[in-house]
Amino acid sequence: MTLAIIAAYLLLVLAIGWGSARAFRGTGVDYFVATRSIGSLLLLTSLFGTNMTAFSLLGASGEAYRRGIGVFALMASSTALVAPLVFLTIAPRVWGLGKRHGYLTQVEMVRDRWGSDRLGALLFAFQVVLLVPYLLIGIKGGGLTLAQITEGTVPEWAGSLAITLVVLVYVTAGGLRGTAWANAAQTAVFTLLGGVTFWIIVRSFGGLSAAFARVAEVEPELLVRGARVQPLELLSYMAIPLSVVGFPHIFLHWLTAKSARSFRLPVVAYPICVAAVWVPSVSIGVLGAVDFPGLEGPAANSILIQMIGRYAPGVLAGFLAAGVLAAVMSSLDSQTLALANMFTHDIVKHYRYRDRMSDRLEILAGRGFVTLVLAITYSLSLVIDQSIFRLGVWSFSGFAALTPLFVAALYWRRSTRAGACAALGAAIVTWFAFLVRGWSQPAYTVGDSGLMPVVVILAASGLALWLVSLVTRAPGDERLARFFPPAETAP
Amino acid sequence: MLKSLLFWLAAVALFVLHNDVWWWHDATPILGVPIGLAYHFGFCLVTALLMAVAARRLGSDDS
Repeated sequence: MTLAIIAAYLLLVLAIGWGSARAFRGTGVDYFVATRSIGSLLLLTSLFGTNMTAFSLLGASGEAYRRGIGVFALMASSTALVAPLVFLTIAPRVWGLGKRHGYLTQVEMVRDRWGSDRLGALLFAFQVVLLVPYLLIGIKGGGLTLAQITEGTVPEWAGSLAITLVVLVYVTAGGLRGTAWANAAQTAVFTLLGGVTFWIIVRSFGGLSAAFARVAEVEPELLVRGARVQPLELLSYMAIPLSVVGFPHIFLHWLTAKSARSFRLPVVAYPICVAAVWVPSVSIGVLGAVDFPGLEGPAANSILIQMIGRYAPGVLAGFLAAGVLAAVMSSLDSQTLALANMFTHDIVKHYRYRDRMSDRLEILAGRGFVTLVLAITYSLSLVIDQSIFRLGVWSFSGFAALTPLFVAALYWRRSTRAGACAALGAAIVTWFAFLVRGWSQPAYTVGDSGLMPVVVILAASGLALWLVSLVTRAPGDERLARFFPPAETAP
Repeated sequence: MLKSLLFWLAAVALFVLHNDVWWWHDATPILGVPIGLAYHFGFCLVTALLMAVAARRLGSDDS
């Protein structure tokens, strides 16, 4: 039954991708940004589905099993505030500039803003380094989870392969439009299934009050932040969701908006969507302590699957598998397309064709890179071990570290090319230094104080940008006029 | 200008309120849910309300 539901779900996603391909207009802009035609609702589901990975469903439960309800404040409500603020202040500006100048990647925008190919190349390299592990985590995590849910009937390699092939088909066929349509369905699926799972489990406990009362008897420390979350950690974790500023896949979705007005719904509804997905995930993790006390490592991470097995095996397990697939694929598709977009425009179009490329060639290159990226990532997922999962939070920190660079590009006229290079250089060096230092400690914080390394990385990058920009020559009016309306560039 | 200032003051206030150290060790249930979780659920809803006010200016000139 579980396998039948999984197969039916994959066919549904393929059908949606196939349907979207019928609307394809045959241009490069349509393939990569759906001719900037995406309305509010699709934009919301695209942004939310892309940003919520399988680990929002599973990882949050595992983390809550270990650390209690504090996980919601750390990872969810912080995102509920920061992400809409970014969608409100950064996204519409990016969309406007993209429409005016035809940017399709962050590298194109940064290169143009400060007139530096080298800066663009360095940004490209850093983003690829951060994005590839993120893709690997999706493919490998999806395969592992499917293997667990089906109790080995679907081996890890087969689960990963199924996910990769389905994404390959609908992304190559429909481009960004296919991704947006599929994301809408997938976001609905994993949000709904999370809620249904939560309701069934809580009902089995005798209601919400009875459920948490049982936890209070067994492990009351899970119902408070207590010693499991440090106040400084809660404060500094707020910087992690800034990663939405630097994510190439989120940037790509911003460019698809039909108008600046299209951002209204994502800005307003995002916090509600976050609460709708994370409250069930965190609560189920905490309730897991009643039935499965003392789990550690990977067993703790799979607490949601174990709870399903205990309270609602059979059909619900099949639907949960579909929900996990939805969460994995709704991120994987956008990340793959973003990476293919970067290789097509930042490398091939810029260096080989000097920014002039026919639509036919652009689409061909895009589809080729989507295939290549997925083939390489899938192959790597077969040989790499589970230590790759440790890169997850570091990937987020790296993207968040790009915030000073992008904010300066959009808001600070006095920022200079040298300042931007210094900001990016400082971000890369400090990120790498912390990665080396914290690699062997999964919950590493600066000096065990609770301070997340991302705060130090952001400070270093921002300071370098500010100091170097102030001591170097201000950019010319002509360049500024491209980024700021004429009234703003007047002295 | 004033509206913008008020919005950012409210956003900073939310940032401060996010760090609810005052019931760090309190598990009192609110509608059956521990207060530390119920509070942050409410925090998400209040954030959505603030964003609803701020988002009205988006697209007024479509730029």
